[in-house]
Amino acid sequence: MLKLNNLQKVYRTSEVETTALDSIDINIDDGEFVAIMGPSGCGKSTLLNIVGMLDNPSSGAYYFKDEDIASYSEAQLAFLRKSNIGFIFQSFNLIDELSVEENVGLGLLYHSDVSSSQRKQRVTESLEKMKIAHRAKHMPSQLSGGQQQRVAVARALVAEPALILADEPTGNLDSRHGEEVMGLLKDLNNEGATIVMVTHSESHASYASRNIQLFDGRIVEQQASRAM
Amino acid sequence: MFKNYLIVALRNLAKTRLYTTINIVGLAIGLAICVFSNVIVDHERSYDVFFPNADRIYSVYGIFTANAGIGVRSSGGIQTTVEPLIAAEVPGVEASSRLLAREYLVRFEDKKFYQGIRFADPDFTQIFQFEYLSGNPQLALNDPDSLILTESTARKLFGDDTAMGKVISVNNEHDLHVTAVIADIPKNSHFNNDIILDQPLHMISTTRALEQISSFKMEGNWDNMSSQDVVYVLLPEGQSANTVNQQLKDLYERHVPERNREFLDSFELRELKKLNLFIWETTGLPVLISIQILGLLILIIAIINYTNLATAQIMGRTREVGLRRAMGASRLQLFTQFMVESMAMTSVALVIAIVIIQLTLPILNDIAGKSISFNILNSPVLLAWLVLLTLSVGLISGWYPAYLISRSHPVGLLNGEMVQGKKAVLIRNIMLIAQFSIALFMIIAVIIIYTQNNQIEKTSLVFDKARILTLERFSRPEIKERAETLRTEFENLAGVESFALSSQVPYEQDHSTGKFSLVAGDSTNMIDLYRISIDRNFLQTYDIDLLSGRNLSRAYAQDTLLVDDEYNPIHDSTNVIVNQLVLSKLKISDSESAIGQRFYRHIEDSPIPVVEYNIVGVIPNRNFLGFHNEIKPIVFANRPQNQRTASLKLKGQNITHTLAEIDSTWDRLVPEFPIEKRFLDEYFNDVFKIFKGINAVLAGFAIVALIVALIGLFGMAAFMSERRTREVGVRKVMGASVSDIVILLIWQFSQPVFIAIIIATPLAYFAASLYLNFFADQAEFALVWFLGADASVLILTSIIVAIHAIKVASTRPIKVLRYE
Repeated sequence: MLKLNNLQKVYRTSEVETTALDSIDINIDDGEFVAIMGPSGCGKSTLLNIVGMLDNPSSGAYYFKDEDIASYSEAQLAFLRKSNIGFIFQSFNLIDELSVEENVGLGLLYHSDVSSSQRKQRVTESLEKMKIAHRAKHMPSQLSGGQQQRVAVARALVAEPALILADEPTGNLDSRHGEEVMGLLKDLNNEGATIVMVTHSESHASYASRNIQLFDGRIVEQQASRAM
Repeated sequence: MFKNYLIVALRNLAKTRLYTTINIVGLAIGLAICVFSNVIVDHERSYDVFFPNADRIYSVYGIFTANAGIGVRSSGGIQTTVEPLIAAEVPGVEASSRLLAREYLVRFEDKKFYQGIRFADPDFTQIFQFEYLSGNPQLALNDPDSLILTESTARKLFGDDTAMGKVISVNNEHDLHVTAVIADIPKNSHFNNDIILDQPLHMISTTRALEQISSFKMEGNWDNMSSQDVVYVLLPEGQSANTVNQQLKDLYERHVPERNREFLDSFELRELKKLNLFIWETTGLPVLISIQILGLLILIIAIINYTNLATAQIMGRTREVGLRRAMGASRLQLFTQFMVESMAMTSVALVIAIVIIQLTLPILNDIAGKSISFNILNSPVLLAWLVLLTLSVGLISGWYPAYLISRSHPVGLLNGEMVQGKKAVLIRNIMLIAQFSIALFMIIAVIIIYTQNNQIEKTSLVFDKARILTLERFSRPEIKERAETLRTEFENLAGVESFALSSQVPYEQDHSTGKFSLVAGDSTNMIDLYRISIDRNFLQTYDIDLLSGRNLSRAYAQDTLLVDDEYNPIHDSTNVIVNQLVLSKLKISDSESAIGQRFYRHIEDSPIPVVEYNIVGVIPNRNFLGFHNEIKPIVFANRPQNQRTASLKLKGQNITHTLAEIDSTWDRLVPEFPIEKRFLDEYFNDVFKIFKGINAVLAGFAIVALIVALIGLFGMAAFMSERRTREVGVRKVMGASVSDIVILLIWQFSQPVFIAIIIATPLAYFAASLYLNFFADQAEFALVWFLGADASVLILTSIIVAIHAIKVASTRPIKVLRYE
């Protein structure tokens, strides 16, 4: 699915140069469920953002589906992103002014090859899959945190992406809702989706097939998940 | 506590520089325009107040009947015969005087020029107490040949010599001697309004002198009513004008002849300070009140800007407010804090507004020839008014945001939440809609007036007005007797095509009418027709082709109608040319069969009471009178005695040379009178400039309104784009392109503008039809006026929103989402 070679990310301000990521080499195969762990500030989110093409590496190579995307323009990246990657955020990032189904529909809105009737149908399917279809007409503020994250997952799935990136998807949830979301992700993985997830939680990391430990921007450990 | 509010207010203003600037600039413009329009209107309403007794001085005017067919409801002047009747029969009047304005050739040694002179009764100096530099007010108008001069006129005539006792000659015939010199009358007096009266007041002589100089009959003359002839009265202390109005009504009943009652309904008193406003009334448009309303509307737009932006901005200050609540601030204290901010903002805006006014007022005074003053330090009333205005604007604009934030729950505030939601969005949109409705309405109005003005200008081209030079004063016997010599000499000039004489030229507002009938002596079926006197060259000079028949000619004696000294015809029959409208009035089917038809003019109190008019030619309908009048049925006869103006059609090339030749020819043939020449253009522009001026002022207001609204939109768009960075980020992650985002934001901001279009367009359409009704020759209603205005406002708003939208949409989503 993707391959990172000797990847480096440096933040420069006028006074300080901070190396967020250094000498990162990662291979992720199709159908893998990878958890990225590490203390706050170790570069987990930066790594996920680069994988998600929301951010550029300072140096190194990024092969996505065997193509070097280092030289891709913003527009090309946007196209690659919308056709391949679904995002789940810690803070859900639902749009308050849009209803649940409109939020999920957003995942397909910018796919010009999907007609509005197709979109409607796929939104319903996706909401049903996440068991939140009965709330389709509600506004995000009327839902609990767990429900909101299920909507966010439904949105990430609706375009049927090959890769799902989740940035601490359970970070804002209580343990019961956290487990629920992890269960959903595991199911998706079992159905063939590739998932890369950043998490603080050892127990949630155990849902993954492989754990990558980061410390100060470097990979300190890569191992199969203990639970496996 | 208060100091703390002020410090926070100032720091906050400084922190959010863009929004502060937008708010202050918008408010300053709004305040400046609003204050300015009120100062102008105040100025117009405060004319003549400097005269002692100003509140007891009135002029007498006539109210027209509904079927008088005159555009205005009331007259400026009155028949001068009314004054002796008032003096004799109206007990509620302390003093009264006629004042007639006439223009004569004035000569002192080698200086000669045409000069407007006022002719007054002796009481005049008692009614109006001028500032006398020399002479005795009580005696100044006692002798029939007395003359009062203003200081600058005395200087013009005599330089630094004493004026008292000097003798000037009027019309080369009559001598007047200077009995007093008064200080120049302040600009804000109706005496200096050259639209009501042809010339500002420079010289005052006596009515007895006028009777000698001219043959004008004052007493018993009910047929002459002109804005140049005014009657003033001074009421005693404590006398109510209503009582006198009643006495005037009785006087009307006793004296006014039956024939005048058809158009004249009654007499009334008009307050001195309202005399100046009469000019605005004569335009038929509510000019002054419109100026005030427009000023207020622009201020409202500015207030909406502030309220909208402040409300939006407050969302960024929820944590500060939450913390204050947590620290024990009461709602009232918070409310006060935010009110202090809006007051501070408004005060700064007011200072800027005052500076703007102070800087632009001299320029505007210069352009408009006014003496409007704006001195806050000298006028406690103005100062108090400004303070009140500032307080109200601060209160109105700051109230809603202050209320909103002080009402929110402290815990919610600490988490960045505020009572907001759909209602606030709705209110914001309603305010945007209001702003753009106002601006659009004004813009459409400007386009309509502009188009109508163009229409008038286009129609006016039926006469070759740039090539026709008019020479005035042919009513003077000395000049009239040389008319034929002048004609021959002028027509011999290489640059002159033709020379014609007429009683009036196109675009002149004056007119005379007569009573006509189809059957001689049939006084029950009378028709009013307009009369213009022309000579045989008139049609050629003005490029008017005959539809049928022939031109008036010297070959037929009947083609000329001579009159006696009283202007009564001495023949009982004459040949005339008529326009097509006369045919329909006379029920004649077509212009061919009109030739040879007869109709009859009835003249009361004339030795020959019925004159037969024989049609020899028919011309198409052309608008001779002002262009906001309908085309009238006009009878053209050749009455040489009535012809006052000569028209010379010039050949296109070498006009400067031709003009010099005309001047020298005149000086050779009429050495004792200076030449008075004007191009026909100028007659047209005399009237047209009023409409042009109205449009220019309205356009100014409309542009300012739009600018203020757009400034507000700029702020709102900046703020909303900023607020929506997260949403934009999410959309981009979902695959939205930059153009997707920009279109989305433009669309969302366009919705209020669309609604504004729906509201403003029909309103403007309605206003347009009201305005156009004022004109006989109306521009065609064109949808493109409205669509053009709508489209340009939409494009402008889109551009402004796009500026921010592109910036936000181009931000990489990672930067946006990191805000979490």
